[in-house]
Amino acid sequence: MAAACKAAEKVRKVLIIERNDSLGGVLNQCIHTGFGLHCFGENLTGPEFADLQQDQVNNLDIDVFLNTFVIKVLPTREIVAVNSDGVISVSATSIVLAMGCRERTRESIVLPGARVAGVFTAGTVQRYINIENFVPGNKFVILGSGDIGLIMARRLTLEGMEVKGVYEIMPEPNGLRRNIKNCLEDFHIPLCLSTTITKIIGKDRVQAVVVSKVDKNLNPVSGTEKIIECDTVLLAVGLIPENELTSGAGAALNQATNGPLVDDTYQTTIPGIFACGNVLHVHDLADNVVVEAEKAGEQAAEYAGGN
Amino acid sequence: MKDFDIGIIGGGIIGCGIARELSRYSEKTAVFEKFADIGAGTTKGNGGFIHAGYDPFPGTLKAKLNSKGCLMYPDLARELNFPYKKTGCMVVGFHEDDLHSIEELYKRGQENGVPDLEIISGDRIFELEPEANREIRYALYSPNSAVTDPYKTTIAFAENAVTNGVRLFRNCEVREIRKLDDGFLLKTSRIDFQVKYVINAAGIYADDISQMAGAEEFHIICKHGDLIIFDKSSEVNMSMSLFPTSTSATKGIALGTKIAGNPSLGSTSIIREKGDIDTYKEGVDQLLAGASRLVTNIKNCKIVRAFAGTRAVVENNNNDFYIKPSRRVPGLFHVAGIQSPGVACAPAIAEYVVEMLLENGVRLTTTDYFTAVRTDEKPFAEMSDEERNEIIARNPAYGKIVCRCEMVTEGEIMDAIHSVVGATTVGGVKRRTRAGMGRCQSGFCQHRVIEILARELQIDPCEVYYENEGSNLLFGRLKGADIQ
Amino acid sequence: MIHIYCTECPNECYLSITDHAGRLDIAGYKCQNGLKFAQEEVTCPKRILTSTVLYKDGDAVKLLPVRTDKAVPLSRYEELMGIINKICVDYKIVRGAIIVEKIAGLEANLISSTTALKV
Repeated sequence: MAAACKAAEKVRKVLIIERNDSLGGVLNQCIHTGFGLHCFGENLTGPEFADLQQDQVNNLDIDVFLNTFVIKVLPTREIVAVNSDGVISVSATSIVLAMGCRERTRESIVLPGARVAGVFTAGTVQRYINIENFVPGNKFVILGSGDIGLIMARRLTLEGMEVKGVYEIMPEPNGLRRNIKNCLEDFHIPLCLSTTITKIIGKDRVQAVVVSKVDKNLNPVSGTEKIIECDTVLLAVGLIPENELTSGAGAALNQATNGPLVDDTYQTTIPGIFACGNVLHVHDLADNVVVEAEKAGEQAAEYAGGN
Repeated sequence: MKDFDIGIIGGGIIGCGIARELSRYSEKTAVFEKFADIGAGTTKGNGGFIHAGYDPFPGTLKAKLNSKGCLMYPDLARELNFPYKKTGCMVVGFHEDDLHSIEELYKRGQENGVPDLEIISGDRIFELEPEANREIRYALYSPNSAVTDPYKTTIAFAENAVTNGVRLFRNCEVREIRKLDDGFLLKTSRIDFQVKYVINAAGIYADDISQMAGAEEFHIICKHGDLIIFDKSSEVNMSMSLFPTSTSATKGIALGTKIAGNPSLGSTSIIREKGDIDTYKEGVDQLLAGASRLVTNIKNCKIVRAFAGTRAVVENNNNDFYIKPSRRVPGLFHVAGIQSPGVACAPAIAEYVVEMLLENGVRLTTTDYFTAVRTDEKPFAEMSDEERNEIIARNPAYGKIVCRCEMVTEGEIMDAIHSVVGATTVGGVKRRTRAGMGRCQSGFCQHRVIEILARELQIDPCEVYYENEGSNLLFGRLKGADIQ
Repeated sequence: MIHIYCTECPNECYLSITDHAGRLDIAGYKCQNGLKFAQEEVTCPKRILTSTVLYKDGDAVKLLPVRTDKAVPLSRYEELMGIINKICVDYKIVRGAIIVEKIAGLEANLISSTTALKV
């Protein structure tokens, strides 16, 4: 939205293509505060932030296609997308990629044990409890002390579910100090550092996990295993930029970030295709995403030269 | 109480293959599957390789059925519309000793009737498979080896069988078997059934079934296998499967490309407890260590899924299949110990079982109403834009992408639920449509799949299972439970 | 003496607070917000509470994100959640609109975090 609004200052036609049924992306399910201090001068929740941006979009003459899924982006800047009207083709003078990221899964950390119901990534649980109105579990073990893990520890506790503990493989917690305090200490949720889950136990649903201390090489130390009874494992083990479309367009990826290689105008290696936000590299704060997106939007508009 | 002529206990690829074969006859056949879906046992943990038949020892039942089954696949895949690709494979070696093993396999292959085998070396190896490790010196090249999707094959067998009159009962665990004058009484977790003949295709539970029938004739040990699937966009793009020459540690480990396009690796083989299908770190490590010998680049590939399966081995049976009429209980037929090359042999096993029935006095009357062909829609992800426009015009639900990683539409998920042997679980939807098999492992789409299952099956989302009873994903409404 | 990080802004100043029998000695803050924060943390920690309430969209029952517009005492959280869990909004609502004024007798209002115009 930020890139579109900035671009709309300079060009005639701006189109946002969104696969969900509303704009806002993950902001809609981030009902906690911490957004907008820089952009709007207030401490806002994710939905408030998205709503303010939606107002901006509405005030400018920006076209929006919702429920529309982009299948491919060509280096000629032709976009092929699909929705319930059929396959549509859009020609763009310049494109800004802002597809965000996806969560690292259990497989990417090879967490052994039973592959049963009750192993969720943080974002999935967040969606269930904040949007879908479901209880995805009663007793949680959280792996990963990044902000999303901490925020979910608080959310779950507030809404009446039990969090047995947050387990972090590194010796230091990963998230903001504010979140350690407001999410764990406020609710007396244990934080266990240098500890990881080494096995999931369960028959059809999670029944317990085995946790173990790790040494300085992050290897489990035998003899330190403990069994923690639970029915849900929440994984907050990292985010990866979602770049199928980017590489499909032929843009080179940066091995270190998993996002596209860009120059200082946020242009990828394909002329006229720009990238910003979590698709470029994982950000901590939404406000920083907006700053970056506005720059990318401006550059994309420059490239389009008024079109 | 329901009456059937033949009752097949077990709805895996073997049981469903037999059911399909028996659906050519007018005698009434039923399949009893204890899990919520077919192919949910050993079949679910299978890697999908169709072995050509050079590995089994000549004279064994495996040897008799392997090449035959493998060569039946191309026509069957066309008839029943399931994924199949004749990729070929190579068993590769680095040293002289390996060459001896390869020559041994070649000899066995010749005796087993496997066509077109070649021992090759040098550049030819890398022409056939450019990803192969340049240190590889020798290879047994088997052009008829192939890959399939074991779940979709099982579903194809089952659906064709059901279309042709076979009854399929899922969530139907046989708990007691009583011998009657003219057959058997099967007491199950659902209702009672009376059948004249029983085919025991119960996978790792075949010895339990056998015991239930008073025919304690064999004991099953379970061989567990870990498998790995890599990201589709990996740098590694193999045209065929590679096997190392076998030691006891590496036998059966194949590195190849799954029919869906993902590089895949599997499986290990180690005796574990019955029913243990956990993922083991040791297994994953073992696979990765071995794989980089075959294709050095594999270590840069990202793991998308690590899963595991278990296969039944009949003890003291020469590691062979145990397909024979019960020695103790007339009317009971065992199809047990179907480990590798079970998938390759499945069509041949089905024919062999029918022969066995006929030889043992079972009357089978060919029906005029058999439809050999089964149709299936191409996945949306594989359609052209014209095909996509067409199908969306018919039903806009095909324009709603649910699984982004694999590009699976709401329309396809609905089809999978309402199909002849429809999905009733999240796992069932996954195996029929690929929704949830991609990079994010259903992180984005699971809630939508649950919503669609609940809507189409007219059940509450909290009643939707991941796999079997007790595998609920959601426990209830968070707020306003009384209002809903 | 206790040490805490101020959470009022990303500066996260490291504060030290010594309680001399009711009189507080606070050091490390860089602004008045930090001072106030330290004082409250010791006497009555307060946070903004965010949650969801039921929202009726025609026949469908959904969730509406809500928040308190001011920080509320941490010790009252359970009571506040009890009130929040009984609310059902069945009218069109805009971002910032008050759903419950002075919730549980506190200074803070419970307001809507988003705009929901369909009902």
